[in-house]
Amino acid sequence: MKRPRLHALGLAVLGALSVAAASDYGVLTGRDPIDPATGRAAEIVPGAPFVAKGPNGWKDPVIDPSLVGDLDLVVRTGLAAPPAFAIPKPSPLRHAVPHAVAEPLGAGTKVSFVVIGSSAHPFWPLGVFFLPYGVRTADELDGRHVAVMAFADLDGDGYIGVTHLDGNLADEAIEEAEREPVGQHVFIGQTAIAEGALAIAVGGPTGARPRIALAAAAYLGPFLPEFHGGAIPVGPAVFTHLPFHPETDPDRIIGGGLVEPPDPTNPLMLLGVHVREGLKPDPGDPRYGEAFTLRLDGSDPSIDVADVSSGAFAGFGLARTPDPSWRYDTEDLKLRPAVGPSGERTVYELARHAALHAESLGSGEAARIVPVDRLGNVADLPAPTAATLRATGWLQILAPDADGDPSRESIVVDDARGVAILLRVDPAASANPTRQHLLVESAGRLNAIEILYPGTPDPYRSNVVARKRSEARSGTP
Amino acid sequence: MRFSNESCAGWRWALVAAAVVVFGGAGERLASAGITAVELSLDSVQSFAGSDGVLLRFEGTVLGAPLVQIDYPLHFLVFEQATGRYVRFDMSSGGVSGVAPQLLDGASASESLGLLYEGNALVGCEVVFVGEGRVDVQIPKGVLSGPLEAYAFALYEGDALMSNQVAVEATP
Repeated sequence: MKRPRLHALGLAVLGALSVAAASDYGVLTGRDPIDPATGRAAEIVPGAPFVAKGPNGWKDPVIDPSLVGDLDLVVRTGLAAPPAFAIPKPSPLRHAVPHAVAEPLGAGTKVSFVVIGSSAHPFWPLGVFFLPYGVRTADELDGRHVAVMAFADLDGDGYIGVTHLDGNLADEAIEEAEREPVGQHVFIGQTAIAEGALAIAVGGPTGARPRIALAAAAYLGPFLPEFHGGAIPVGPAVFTHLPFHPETDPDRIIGGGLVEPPDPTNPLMLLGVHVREGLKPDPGDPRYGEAFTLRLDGSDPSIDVADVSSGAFAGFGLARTPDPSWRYDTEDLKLRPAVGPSGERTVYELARHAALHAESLGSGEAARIVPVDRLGNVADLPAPTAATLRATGWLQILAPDADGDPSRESIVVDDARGVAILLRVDPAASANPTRQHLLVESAGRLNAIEILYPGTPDPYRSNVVARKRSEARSGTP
Repeated sequence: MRFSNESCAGWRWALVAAAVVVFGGAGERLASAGITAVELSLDSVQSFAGSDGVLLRFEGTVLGAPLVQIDYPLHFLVFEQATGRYVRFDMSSGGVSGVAPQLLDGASASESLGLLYEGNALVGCEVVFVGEGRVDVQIPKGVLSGPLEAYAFALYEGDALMSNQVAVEATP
């Protein structure tokens, strides 16, 4: 009974203040920098400089460090109720970081969140110590699609994105992959906020549970019949902090398909959203440096965090140390947090199509058989579990080798650290077909790991590239 | 969604509703429009035989990330080319088996909808993996035999949005 009264009071105060200073209250106000190309509020990631496509698109972006994005949208996780007025601290500063469990089909423990329009009020501007995150705005988000997305700290350095703040310049391949969302969905704003729960695809076993950042984006403005049939607002787009500057051109987003206006009564309509980078930040660029790096300790005012466990054991997968020369920033999320042989936190590649390296043609390539959940995360094992490995075609299991048969092996996996194996290409066998399998069977569970001959391109990546080229040629979405 | 040579792919809304494009061909609604539609298309279906079960691997455009978020009404159907004996795997509730000779000349949306009310529950079916571009399910050994065909369909507003139909590749 207490909360509604506080809420009503908060709205009443908001109403009074907004009457007093209407032009300075709202997600977008007279204080927002103006994009000279559009004449309306510039679309800028908070804390980052103004970025726009150049004459050749994102290959030569226009970057103006003199215009820096302010706080427009805020995400908070783990709140018992949406804030009535002042926006609270991020969860690490409240000592209330929520915990999620990664499972598919909405079966996991999701991260509950609220997305709030943030406004500085002239009476209590940002910087005043007791309102550092602003106050809840009135109605700009109402009826709008609000995209909510999660990014995982795969390497456990406390940051999302390519950064030099961790003192490690050699982990760029892993940190690039952190810019790929690990959970995303569309929600509809109501009563000045968008609230819901987001499932996360990437989790980790005990000792390697990743922290994820929740971020959000939305189009503001009116719905006009002449603009995409009145299905989306005319903009501009506003964001929380993101690890990149996103593409926001509706013509590039919506494509040629028909889109219906927001309908919160049809959950299946809210199938998804995919937010990807326009500008891929380089922290070495002096124009913005680390401005796009997400900090997960609560010091990033517009985002919030959660810690994520992997789901229940569902079988076994093949894990390898990431190749620093490879690209992992793809939607199939190859990299997963893991515990190494000594129990240390690490990151493994759990590729669905594992192309062997050159050493597999000689002395063998090292890998590990690790327990996984239904989303391909390294999982905890409830008890030591026996498994039988079977290699097809030219693929051989060089080690362990208790039975002298390189095509079969029996192992016992004690825990999430898994068991080391050595894979080799049979030098006497034909390389065709270039795709073979490592079958792992355990207690009635069967997993098939696709192994590709050294040098064979990843078919997932090839398919994605082919699809994009086809779409670009045809001009269809 | 348009792609160009630029590195960005954009901020794409996958709003399902009116984005479903109606293609011709026997009056079927194919779920293969742009990214604003429910896209279902199979690149391949493979089967792997184990000592207790058979792993079925569906690769292609099979909803991917949205399957992490929601219990979407997505069905994978595998049937014997010779008899029409089938297993329909409902991602929401598990497996059902039966015989449907009407599938042998090519499955239609109406036939797929009809199968929702037929068949017997099949114990021992489970989801093994869900991810972008791939879904693995396991069914009991010995339920299906011989050359197999497979397709996927999703339910939306009372209709079945169909994928293409492909032959199942048996892997040793």
